[in-house]
Amino acid sequence: MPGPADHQLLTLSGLRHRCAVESDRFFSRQEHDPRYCFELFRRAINNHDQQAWQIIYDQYGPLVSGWVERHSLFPAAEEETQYFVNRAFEKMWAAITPAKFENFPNLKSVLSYLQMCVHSVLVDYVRNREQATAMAQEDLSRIPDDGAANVERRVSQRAESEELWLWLDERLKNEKERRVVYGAFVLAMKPRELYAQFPETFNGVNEVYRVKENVMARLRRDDGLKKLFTTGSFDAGENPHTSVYDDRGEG
Amino acid sequence: MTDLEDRLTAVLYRVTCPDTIELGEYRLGITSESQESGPRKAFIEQHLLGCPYCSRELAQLDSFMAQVQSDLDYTPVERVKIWIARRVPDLTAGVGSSTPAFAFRGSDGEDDPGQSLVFEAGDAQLMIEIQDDVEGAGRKSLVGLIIGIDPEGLSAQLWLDGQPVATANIDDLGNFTFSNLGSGHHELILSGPDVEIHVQKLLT
Repeated sequence: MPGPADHQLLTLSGLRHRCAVESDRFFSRQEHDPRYCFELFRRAINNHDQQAWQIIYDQYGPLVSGWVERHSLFPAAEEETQYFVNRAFEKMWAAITPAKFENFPNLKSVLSYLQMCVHSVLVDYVRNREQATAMAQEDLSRIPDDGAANVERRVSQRAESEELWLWLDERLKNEKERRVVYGAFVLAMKPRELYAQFPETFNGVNEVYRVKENVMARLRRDDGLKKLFTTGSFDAGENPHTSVYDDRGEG
Repeated sequence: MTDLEDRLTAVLYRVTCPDTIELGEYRLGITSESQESGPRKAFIEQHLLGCPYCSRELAQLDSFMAQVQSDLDYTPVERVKIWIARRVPDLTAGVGSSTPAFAFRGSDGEDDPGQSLVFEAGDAQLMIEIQDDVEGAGRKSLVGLIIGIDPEGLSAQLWLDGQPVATANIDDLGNFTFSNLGSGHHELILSGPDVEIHVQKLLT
């Protein structure tokens, strides 16, 4: 006589049925068994099973919608709930590999990760808006928003920004200069805010001003930086890494 | 602010910040430490000391997770016994029992059309026959009987391609019927309060 069935032996239909039944019980505050919903996640991630993903999306979409709408950043966002729901699931699909899935012992841990993905997409939205504000100081016409290609462009820009940061870092003489450049340009802080952030580094806000002026004066004289912002690339001799912003054309 | 400062801010804004997933994984305690990425946990801890934005985002994450945490609070219980039905030889075959036009077929092997199917599932036994549906040309009906367990509270559901397509009540004696069925890969699920029986990969 066969023993109790291993939930891993159920078909996707069987899992969908049980996951729905158990979820209904959970939301009506009844005892429930989470193993079937967890098995759906396991198959989706470890077996790259698209049908399992679709079942998960159908089953958990309404729950994720509720999480989006309860997030403190959502009311100020100018996108519909569904936009963030879709991005959150996409984040999860992309982020959890079979190897990483070994960190998830149960359904609760997987759903906690999905909650984190909801937060992640809302913060991404805010970060992108802040980045756009910073870029508005620049000539945005050189950075067309062309859908899918824009994703690649963002990745490329990120790499180029990191390259510039390393290039600048090599030209800073001490920790105070490093803190000033980091605070002023990476954190976009005013000198007073910068001093408040790093009070142990400076002897007052006036010192922040003075260090910043010295660094800026030196950077303005730097041929490599001049070339970067006029032609879009460093001198070959200045920087072994080919170029920064090659695709941005003439400045 | 000068033009050069504007440009530097535009290019460098938050360039050293970890992405939001990495920051979230750090908070969940699953930061990946690969040879390629280096000791990311230590990097993020150091970064948080000097980045008010990432610190604020982590505080927002903590607040959000605390708010939605109750959605995940539960006490898991293995409440329902799940049985996957296994095909057993039909002991009544060949003794002049009914001859259905065709039969659902279990997953255990090839069957002769018209054969009754018998399944075993835990303490239960399940007999299934498929017949032409007199109400619709080309359509079929499924007649089933479950014995060995109390059928009270049981219901039967047929699934096709991942979706439920029909539901039937099971009477006090364990009989149930589906009619007007099309062809396709079906799965039969009998559900009760503390037991569930799955008959998988039924073919029409």
